[in-house]
Amino acid sequence: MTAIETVDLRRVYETHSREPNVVALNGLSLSVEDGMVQGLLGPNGAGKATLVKILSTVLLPTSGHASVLGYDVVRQKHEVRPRIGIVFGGDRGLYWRLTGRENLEYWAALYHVPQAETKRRVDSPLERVGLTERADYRVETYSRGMKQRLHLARGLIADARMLFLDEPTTGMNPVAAHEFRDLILELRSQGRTILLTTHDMAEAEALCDAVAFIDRGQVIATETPRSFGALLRGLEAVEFEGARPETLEALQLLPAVSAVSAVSDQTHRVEVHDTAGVEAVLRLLVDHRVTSLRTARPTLEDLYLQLLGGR
Amino acid sequence: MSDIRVFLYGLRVGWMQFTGFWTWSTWTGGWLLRIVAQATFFAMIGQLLDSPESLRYLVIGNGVVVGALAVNWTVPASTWDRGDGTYPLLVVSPSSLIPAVIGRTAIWLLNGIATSLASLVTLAVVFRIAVPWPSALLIAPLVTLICASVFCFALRLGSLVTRMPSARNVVHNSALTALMAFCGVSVPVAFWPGWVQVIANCLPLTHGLAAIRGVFDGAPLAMIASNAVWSIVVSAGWLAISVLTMDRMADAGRADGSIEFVR
Repeated sequence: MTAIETVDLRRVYETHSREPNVVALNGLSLSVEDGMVQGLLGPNGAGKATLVKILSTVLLPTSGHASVLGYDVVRQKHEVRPRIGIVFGGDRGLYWRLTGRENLEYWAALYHVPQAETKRRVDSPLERVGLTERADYRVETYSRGMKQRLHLARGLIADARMLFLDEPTTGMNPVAAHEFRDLILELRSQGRTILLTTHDMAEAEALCDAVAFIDRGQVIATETPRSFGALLRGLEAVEFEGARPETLEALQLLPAVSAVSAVSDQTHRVEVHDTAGVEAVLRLLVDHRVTSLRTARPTLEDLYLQLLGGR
Repeated sequence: MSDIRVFLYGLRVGWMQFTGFWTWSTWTGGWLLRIVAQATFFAMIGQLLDSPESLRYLVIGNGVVVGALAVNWTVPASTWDRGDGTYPLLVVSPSSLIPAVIGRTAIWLLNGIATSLASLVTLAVVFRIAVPWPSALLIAPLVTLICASVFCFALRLGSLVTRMPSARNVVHNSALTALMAFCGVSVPVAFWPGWVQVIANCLPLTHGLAAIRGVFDGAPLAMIASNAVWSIVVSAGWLAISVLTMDRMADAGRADGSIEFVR
């Protein structure tokens, strides 16, 4: 069954000024199967958040079609809303003067959770995101990462089949982000469908069954974790300091090297085609007695250049 | 049942925010003292005119209108969920937006009732305005009715400014000016041209204030009841408009994207 379907979805923000209207989604089509973790990867302004907001009925599309769990998000919003959990990150979206527990109790009431079940339905996500000990403190005393975890707990209150997670690990410390990944895997094992937007390529690779790359309001590619991982590894680079001219010349002669460039006066960057290329570059640098070096993961920009170049 | 729980949690949000502004001592020594001083200022015009009738008229009108002034804070308070970023989440929750908004802003209704009763009693004592007994017992329910009526009116204005939060202070103050000028607070409604009187009769303060004046003047119960009923009718009208348009205002924000804006 298809959990999410969008066809030629457009969203235009009218500016009501001399500036041109902003096209956030430009004919975006996407299909997500039930029970999948679908990643949405893209730079700021690509249209990821707008897509999530249309699917979660916060925004109306300008044109096109979108459905969630078989329900049209425009005409059947009252069918969609009880079936989805939403996590929009950031400092906003919480009542700062209430405690974490009170925030969740309020949301439980808004999602028609029976009063007799509220305590269990609030305690469980609080424990799951590690906020039990701070649950009775006001949100205004929380760190950014704790607020992010409370957002996540709120998204779980509805016990929904479909979860929309918009940049859910922003502001979380590495331990909390790791626990979040475990939580996503647990939710997937329960058969829930998850739409996850992120900037973090490692997170997308680790969690998602499929990753859609979005740019300028359109899906430019969809990859499986395996092909995505290969793509990432193929864009790895090596950065090193203290290069001599003969080292640079030798590097350029290696078949796996696609480019050698100066990052600064002291630092050079070697881009390679594949993992084997990284090994060859490292071996050559050690032979040339270069000891200050590191491998570098590709940036989102590198990845997009690769994807757009291959289109 | 769920709507009641939503209302009560909304009320808790409003209360926690209110107590962030005021403590008991600052509410009494800051807010209430200033409000009573304002009402006293207008009432003293009657004393300066050496007219007991004018003094009585101004004491009652200004003792009551300060409650409307407090309740009218519902207008800007209606936009605070947008500022908090919780408004889009409330809109897309399975519950209606209405109990959440009424709950969050109801604290201003309670503040208005307390403010008006405290001011009216203080002014009546200071200026020695007698109230016939036992009809004096009607003052508290009538003040509550007036404040509830202003609250229903302010909810409608609040749902309008939710579409355009930058206009909240203009709308808030314009509404208050209209209530103070046209509803018989310091100048009788009959002073104004006919078309203004028609508008005044649709505003929330006019009939309730006439009922309270009836209590102070020892008017027949039927006259007091008639004005109270008209006040209920006007309140119900404003509440119906508020309820019918609140979701539409949210949908308009979903269409143009302003649902997410802070201002």
